[in-house]
Amino acid sequence: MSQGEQAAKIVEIVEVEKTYQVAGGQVPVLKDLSLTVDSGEFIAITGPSGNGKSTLLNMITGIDRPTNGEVKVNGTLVNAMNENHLATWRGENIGIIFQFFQLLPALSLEQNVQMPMEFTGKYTRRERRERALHLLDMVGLADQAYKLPGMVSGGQQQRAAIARSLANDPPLLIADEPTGNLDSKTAESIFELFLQLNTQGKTLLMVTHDVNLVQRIPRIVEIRDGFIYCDSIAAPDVFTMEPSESLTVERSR
Amino acid sequence: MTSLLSKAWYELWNKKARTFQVVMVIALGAIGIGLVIGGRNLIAGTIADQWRQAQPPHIKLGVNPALTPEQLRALERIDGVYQAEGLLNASVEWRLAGDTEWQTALLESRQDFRDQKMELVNLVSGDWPSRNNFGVIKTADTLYGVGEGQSIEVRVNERTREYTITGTLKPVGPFPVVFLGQPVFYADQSTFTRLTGRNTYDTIQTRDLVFSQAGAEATDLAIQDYFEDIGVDSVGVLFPFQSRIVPPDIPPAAELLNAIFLILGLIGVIIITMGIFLVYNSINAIITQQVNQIGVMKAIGAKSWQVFLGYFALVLAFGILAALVSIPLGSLGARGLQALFINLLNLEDPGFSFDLAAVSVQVAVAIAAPILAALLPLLAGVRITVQQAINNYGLTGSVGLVEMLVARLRRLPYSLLLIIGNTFRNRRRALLIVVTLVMAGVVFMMVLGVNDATRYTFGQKLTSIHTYQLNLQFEELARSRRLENLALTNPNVADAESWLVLPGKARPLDQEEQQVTDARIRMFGLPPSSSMYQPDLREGRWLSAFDQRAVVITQRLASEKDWGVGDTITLTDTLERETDWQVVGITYDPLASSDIFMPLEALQQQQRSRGLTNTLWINTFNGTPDAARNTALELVDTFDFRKLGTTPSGTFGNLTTAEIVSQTQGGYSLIFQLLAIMGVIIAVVGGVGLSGVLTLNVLERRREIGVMQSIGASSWRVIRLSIGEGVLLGWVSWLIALPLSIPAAYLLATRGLSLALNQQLSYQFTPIGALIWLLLITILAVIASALPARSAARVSVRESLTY
Repeated sequence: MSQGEQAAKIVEIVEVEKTYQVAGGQVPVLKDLSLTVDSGEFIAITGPSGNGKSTLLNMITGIDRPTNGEVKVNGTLVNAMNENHLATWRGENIGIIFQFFQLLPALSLEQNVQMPMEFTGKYTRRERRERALHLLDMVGLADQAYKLPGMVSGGQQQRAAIARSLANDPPLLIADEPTGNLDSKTAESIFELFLQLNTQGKTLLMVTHDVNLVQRIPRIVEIRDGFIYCDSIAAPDVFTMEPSESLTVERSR
Repeated sequence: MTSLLSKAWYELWNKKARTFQVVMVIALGAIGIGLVIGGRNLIAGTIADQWRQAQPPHIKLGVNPALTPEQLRALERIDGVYQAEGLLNASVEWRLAGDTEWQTALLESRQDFRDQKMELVNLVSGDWPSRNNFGVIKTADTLYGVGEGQSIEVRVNERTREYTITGTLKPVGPFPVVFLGQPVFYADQSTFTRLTGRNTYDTIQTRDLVFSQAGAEATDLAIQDYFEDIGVDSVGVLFPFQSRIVPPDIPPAAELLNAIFLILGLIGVIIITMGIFLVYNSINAIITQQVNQIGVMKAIGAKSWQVFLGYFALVLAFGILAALVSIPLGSLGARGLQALFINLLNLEDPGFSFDLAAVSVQVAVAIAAPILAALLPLLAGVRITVQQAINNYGLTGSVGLVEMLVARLRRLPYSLLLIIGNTFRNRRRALLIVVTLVMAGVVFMMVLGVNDATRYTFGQKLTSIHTYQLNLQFEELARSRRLENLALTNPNVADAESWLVLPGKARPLDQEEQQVTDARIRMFGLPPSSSMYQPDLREGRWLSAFDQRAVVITQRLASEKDWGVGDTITLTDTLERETDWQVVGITYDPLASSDIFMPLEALQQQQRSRGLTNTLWINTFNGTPDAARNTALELVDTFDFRKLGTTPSGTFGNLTTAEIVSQTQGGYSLIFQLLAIMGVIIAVVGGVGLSGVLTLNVLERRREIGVMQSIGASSWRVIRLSIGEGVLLGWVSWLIALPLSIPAAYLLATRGLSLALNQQLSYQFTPIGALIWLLLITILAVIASALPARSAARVSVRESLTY
């Protein structure tokens, strides 16, 4: 599906506010933020540290709840679900990739990839095993499948985490600084994987500080002081890895 | 769920040190309970089985005067007496042929050893007693150096004869041969009569066809009526409370056994409670350490119940492992206790067996305790949200009261401040381990306190009241001045005092007639200003030279009969003469249980025995046990030479006070040993728990340790910190436990054990127990912190600062 074609809205954030209560008082992190993501988009979320990027992702995944406003993902009102429903829904609809990989150290890569399938109960045991190995093969880790996370490199752990995020074939992938802990070469290979997944129809939202990567992502949403400062869509030649000027510049304020 | 079970297995297998600690803590509690329940059941079962095999009597009485054979036969015509059997007993002196020193022994005889009716005695080897041939009790060879095939001389009433031991006998059922302190010889009736000059039965026992309590009581009343007709007095003789009637399915000392094991069981429950606290700490720490893993699992789709089950499986595995460890060890421990009692009570060894009740309880405790302990942390853990779980990577720490106090103590060394701050940073964990160590300390010091109490009661307290070194009891009354002067001819005798001591009965004034429930007492007639007896008065006053009909009674007698100062009681002597006396004081005496003290002259007057006494109380110049013993034997010879026969065992079972102290303390050593076993278990649980907590502290502060090392801290400094934390926790627990242990020991000694043993113990605090526990907890703390300290020192900066 191309960028220019009409697509179903997969994420709808409507006038979301998030305020934290700390010892010194209240800290507003997100302020009246609205965002729509179409199915199949690849979006980079950028901005200075501490300005609300990860908080925004947490709103979408249900890890955190807005103080005001609505968050809908795939038509489901996320902030209305309780923790258990959220967990199940998350396992089926969202794949999360963390900066620090967050693989369970006690389980092998293959077992880590199987876990989300076990939790949702979508597949039989045999199917889970086959699918886990297939996903690991897809990310180039077929021969590392039975190793513990501590036995493989950071890049390989992140690949395994990506495989895990695809376990239940979710439509939406959320990545919070997925290359932040990797060297540039490894980061590049991870990014290639994301591009490939996007080509296959996955919607990706990625928080990143890596300018080289940002420039290659079709849509860039910049968050500053809790607002969307800039929401730009790049030219179709974004996939040629050439920097390009924005076609559209939107400011939510 | 496969991956969660794999995770649980990983936690179990790859964290072996932690698994060992948690499993040991649970297992020790289960072992303690298994030891107590299993030991009690095995011992009680063995005693009960063998007691039944002994064909126990339904009624057993000591009679005075002893019954003739005709009177014994007449008993069998009483309703409810299907069988009656007479026993003859005498205290004798004996020595191996060729030896010089005489020792005391019991001589038992029956109507016919080959036709026994009740409380059977088996022939282990050799022959039954026959004319001029004795039998001896089994174990006499090991305990007293006399056995089958040897010849002995026996002396009774100045009559000495030589006999050969041709058989070894053993009472069927429990028989506390060790506690007797002397061997038991068996003679046939004709031999007994020729030696002692008596063919009457001082003990009788009866059985009916079928036992019923009401029936036995009715029979006993009928026997009492018969005895009243023939002028015979009777008293129950069954151990330990001189019961007249004993249901055959309740072995002797069953209540005593139950009371002792109840106390041990309570300690066992304390050990389990400690284990629950420690497991709570461990599971809480596992959850805390794995908060972010829980968050990740929930982020990728895990529901709360799935996370719960994953950790529940781990807790269940701990419990199952603990059960597997505790069952054989608890059973072996119970078997060890059983063997101890088999030896003490001269029982047949039934061989090793499992007590299913104990095993079941152990399994239940081993599995239920960790589940109970883990419930709260597991439920709290699964409530953790993803957001709480996954976003904390730096060094953090809350600031509370402890931290603020520590921050103000600027003048203390930095490492000490760090130790204090680190120790109490996780306050809940610190509180739980301190509570656990306090429980261990209280029980341990309480056990030592009880031992101190028994040693004090039957040592310092006893000798502070009974200030003489030796005591002789004469077979007949003699002139007091003669006895004292003769004693003073011995160069080691510093002072001698003679008293009149006679058996009697006591009842309240308002009870018109004698009853079998009247108190069996000894009347001690002594000079009111005696230098040999320093009473420990608890109420009223001591005797005065002007008292005519005043008595001081023992605290135990006062408690049993509910008599107090001012009450008037009727005393009956052996000639059935009755006189009324007023109680003017109540005294505590660990040795004289049911005794009454009165002025010597008043008793002599009442007995029409002016100037006559039958006991001698002596202070020696050289008061060492050996010197006192030698002096006692010399005096016995001196009096024997002048035809003044003495009983072989004095007034209180031994000739010298040192021997009395030694024998009574020895009797309580079993109780102390049982308590000490529990004390050791509790100390080990405390040590294992402390080690677990310190390990957790090190694990949680890996990053901190890495930072310290990166800014210059040496490994030794890190080790010192860990050891310091352990020692601080130990000392804080000691400070709290010490004031709690004193009332606990007091209550256990003066209420718990006193009731159980029917012996009033006196408590005096000594610091020994407290100092021993302080030393032990310090050593435990250092050992417990050794492993975590070492692992802390080995943490590399790179590893600890990497996520």
